[in-house]
Order: sequence, then structure tokens, then C-alpha cells
Amino acid sequence: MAMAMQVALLTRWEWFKLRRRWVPWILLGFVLVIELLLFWLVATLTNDVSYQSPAENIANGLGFSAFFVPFIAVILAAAVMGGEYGWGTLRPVLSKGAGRWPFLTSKVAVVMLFAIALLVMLSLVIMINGFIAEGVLTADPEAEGYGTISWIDLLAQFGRMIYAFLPYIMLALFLVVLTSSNGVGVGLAMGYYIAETVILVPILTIFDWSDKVFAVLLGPSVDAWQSISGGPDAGREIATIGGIPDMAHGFIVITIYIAALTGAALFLFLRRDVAGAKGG
Amino acid sequence: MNDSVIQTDGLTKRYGRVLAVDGLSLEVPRGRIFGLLGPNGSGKTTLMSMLLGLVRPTAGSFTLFGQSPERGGLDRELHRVGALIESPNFYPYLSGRNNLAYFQGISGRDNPEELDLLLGQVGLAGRGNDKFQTYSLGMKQRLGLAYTLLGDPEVLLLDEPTNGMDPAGMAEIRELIRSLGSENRTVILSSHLLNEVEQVCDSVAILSHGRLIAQGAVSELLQERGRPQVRLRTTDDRKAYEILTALAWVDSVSADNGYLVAGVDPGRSWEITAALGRNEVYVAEMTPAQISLEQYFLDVTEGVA
Repeated sequence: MAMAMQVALLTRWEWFKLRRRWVPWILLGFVLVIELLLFWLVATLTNDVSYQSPAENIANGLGFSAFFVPFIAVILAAAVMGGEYGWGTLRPVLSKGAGRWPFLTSKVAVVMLFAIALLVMLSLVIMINGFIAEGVLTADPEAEGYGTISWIDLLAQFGRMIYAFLPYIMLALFLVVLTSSNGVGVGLAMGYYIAETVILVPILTIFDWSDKVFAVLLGPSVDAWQSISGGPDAGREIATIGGIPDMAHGFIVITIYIAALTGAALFLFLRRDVAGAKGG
Repeated sequence: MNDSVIQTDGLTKRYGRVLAVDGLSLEVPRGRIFGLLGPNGSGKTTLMSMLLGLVRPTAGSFTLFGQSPERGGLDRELHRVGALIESPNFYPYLSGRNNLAYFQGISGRDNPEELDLLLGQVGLAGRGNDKFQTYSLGMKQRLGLAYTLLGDPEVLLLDEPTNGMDPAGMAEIRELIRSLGSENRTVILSSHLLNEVEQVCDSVAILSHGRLIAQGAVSELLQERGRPQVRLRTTDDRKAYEILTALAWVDSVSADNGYLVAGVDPGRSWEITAALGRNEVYVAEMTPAQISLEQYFLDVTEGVA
């Protein structure tokens, strides 16, 4: 209980620091612009939103976010942890008795909080734009298929997305702790994300023998967990182990990634000596 | 009841082939201003970092307020410590005041009055709302001192606290440290400025190559090591030199900055006056001379490898 209180206290003060930095605001602006561009591009190209209820609008918006919000999570996670190494602020923080694992946990918590706030904000913006689009582009609530996504479905999708951020956040934190550097950590984490989703997955899609490798990669598992189609691995069923459904398989693989990366990051962070500023 | 706030026993830290701290056993008494002396690379900062749980010892053990880090960690004890290790590192995008607010907050306290008080105490009252990245090195040191004083800690660990300050600032901070030490607070001051340590500290530990080579009250160490001497000026120093050299009870005579320094107990000053007077050499000035901490330090560290 005392530890949970300590994590909550540290998270509150991490938020205090985070909202005074430029990075989250730049990322927020970037995501909003991209999201709105994509929304209006799709809406104007089809010139018809009659099949879309507000919940469907938001669900589609979240679908766009699923492809680039992990980037945001990686950059932000690396920035909040890497800054501590770069500025040499781990010394004064830990000298005040913050505790190593509560401090690292608070970093995860604050990035998750930001990601949730980002998704809520995006949802609201998409919903408002959906109403505007309905007025501009003549929506028809009586049309066939209208309202096939309920608010409960949307909430579930929201929850799955939040959980899917965790392995990316932990990957970035682990790499920053491993390299004690913001720049190297974010570079490696982004490199991994790009190498896996843009290079490895499409290559593996070509070969039938690669099913088992494909099944344990993070990107396809995240997509399976979120039931997303149209990504780089589109057109291929994820190979599941023991015949379990795609979504459950995705959940298991993601959870294993989270556990492994959290364990590795904590192991290093708890054992390593803390040095002064590294300047990046 | 043990009256030591810090005790180390055979504390050792090795970085690869470099032995930074070598089997250090020392005791820091409560309520004293304790100086850690040593040249660069003698292990002062590594020792302080181990005491704060930032660096893991390779061997040996230590206790902070009687608590060992192996038994439940030191997080609770660290709330009673204010420490500034090497350069003061804070969040560059936060103001000085917000930096202090953050560190106060993570210690579980929310007291804006304390922030104003501390900023005033270290001479940053007018610059508290400026970003840390705009501060000069001296101002950063001042903010570092304010940080160490958050929560009115029982123990202060200060590593080169006057580094980068101008002479007036150094004197001001020395005075502040002295006043902090007089409030029954334990202050551990690490410095290679021997003059600073001599002016401020009650007792010292001298490190060289990671090893403890002397420890004790400053006055006792100087007395123990110091040879009795008197410094004098006369009407004819050349003749006085010859007279004093001829006296069997004077150990040595040397010239130092326009003075003669005679190796003799200051209690025999009247005998010097008499001996010189008999030869028509008269004393213009005579004072007992004590070995300085700097001389003591050079003596004890000489030849330590």
C-alpha cells in the first residue's frame, strides 16, 4: 500500500514536469493534425458518412491512431526517462529517497496517462468533426449498417489500444536504461518498430515457413489484439499456437513482451550505479 | 546509543581495475561539521555516492542512521538527508522554484513558504522564477544548496559546494554552512580547498587513493603533527638567525616571507627575547605559529601511492 502511494505521488509529480515540457505538446499537435487530415481525407473522398454513427467515427479515428500512436509512446517514454540520464537528474531524485522501482513505474504511469489523455482528446475531436461531416456530407441514420459499432465495443477497443501501448513504452524505457541515453534509446526503439513492421513483417509474409516467427513478433500480435486490418501485415492470418483465437494469442504475446521488457528494465535500473549528466 | 550518523566498515568500490575506495572504515559523529579531504580522484565522491545508494559497494558495509542498505533499503533514511554530489543537476526547462517544488513534492510535502524561505536563504529570491538553464554556475550551486536544505534534513552531504562561486559568494556559503552546522545538524563537506575545510570543519577525514590516511578533530590533528614554532621579526634578522641557530634548545631556524620561524616551544619566547637582547638585537614582533591544514595534508599524503 505504501509503495502504491509512493508510485502515485511520483506519478503526480512526473505529470507536473511533463506538462511543462515542449515534447508532449509538439507530439499532441502532430497527432491532432494527422488525425484530422486523415479523417477529412476519407470523408471527402467518399463524400458519404451515412454509414457512420458517432461511435463508428471515433472507432475509425482510433483505427488511424493505432498505426502512429506507438511512435508517440516510444518517443515520449524515451524522452521522459532519457532526460533524467542526459541532465544527470537521477542523482538528486534518488538522493531524495524516491526509490528506484517506484520512480521507473511512475515513468510508465505518466506515459500511459498521456496516451489515455491523447486518445480521449482524439476521440472527442473526431466525434465533433464527425457531427460536422454529417451535416456537411448528408448523413443518413436510416442507412443500412448504421450503428453497427456500439459504445461498449468502442470502450473495449479503447482498452485494447491502451494495453497495446505498454510493450512499446517498456521497449523504449528498457533501451534507454540499457544505453543510459535518450538519443540512442529512442533511435533503437524506433528502429525496432520500423524494422519489424515495415521490413520484417512484409518479408515474412512471403514465406510460408515463417508462421511461427510471425506469431511471436510484437507488431502482428498488437494488430491481432486490436483486430486491426489494413496494416503492413494485412492479408495474412496470424499463426496461433494451440488453436487459440487471434485476439487471445495477441494478448498473450503482448503480455510476454511487457513482462520480459519490464523485468529487464527493472533489473538494470535497480542494479546499476548512477552517474552524473551524460548530455544526451 | 550510538552517536554516529554514518559508519562504514571496510567499504570498497572497484571500477574494473581502478580501486576508487579501498576498505574504508570511518565514523561520522552526530552534530559536527565533518570534512572529507583529498585530492581529485581520492574517492570522496564515490564514498558519498555509496552512502546515498547511488553506487553499489563492491565490498564492505555501511549504515546510515543505524540502517544498513541490505536490510530494507535506505529510502526512508534518505528523507533525513540533504545531498549535493558534484555539479548541481536539475531540470533545465523548470524554473529554480519549480525544481525545488518538484523535489519537495516527491518527498511528500507541499509547502510553498519553505521554497520562498530557502530561495531567500541562498540569495536567489529574485531569480526563483527564471529557468534553471539560464543560471550561472554560481547560481546553480546556490539552488543546489537550497535543494539540500529542503525538509530541514538532519544530515547534509555537500560535495564541493562553493565550486564556481566568486570569492564573496564562497565566503557567504561558508558562513551559511557554519550556521547550519551550529544547529545540531551534521554536515559532511567534501572539498579539495583546504583553507575552506580548515575554516568550516570541526573534524576531518583525509583520503588518498581511496584509502583513509588520517581522521580526527582538526585542532587535534594539527597539534599532534605540528611542531612548536614561533614567528618573529627583529631589528637585524641576519644576526638573529645566527644567534638562534647557535642555541641548543632551538630545533630549527628558517626564513619565511620576511619572518624568521624558530622551532621552539612558544612558552620559551621570553628566553628568545633575552638571548637576542644580550646581542643587541631587539624583537619587533613575535607570535606562536601553528602548522596549517594544508601543510599537514601535504605531509600525510606525501608518498602515499
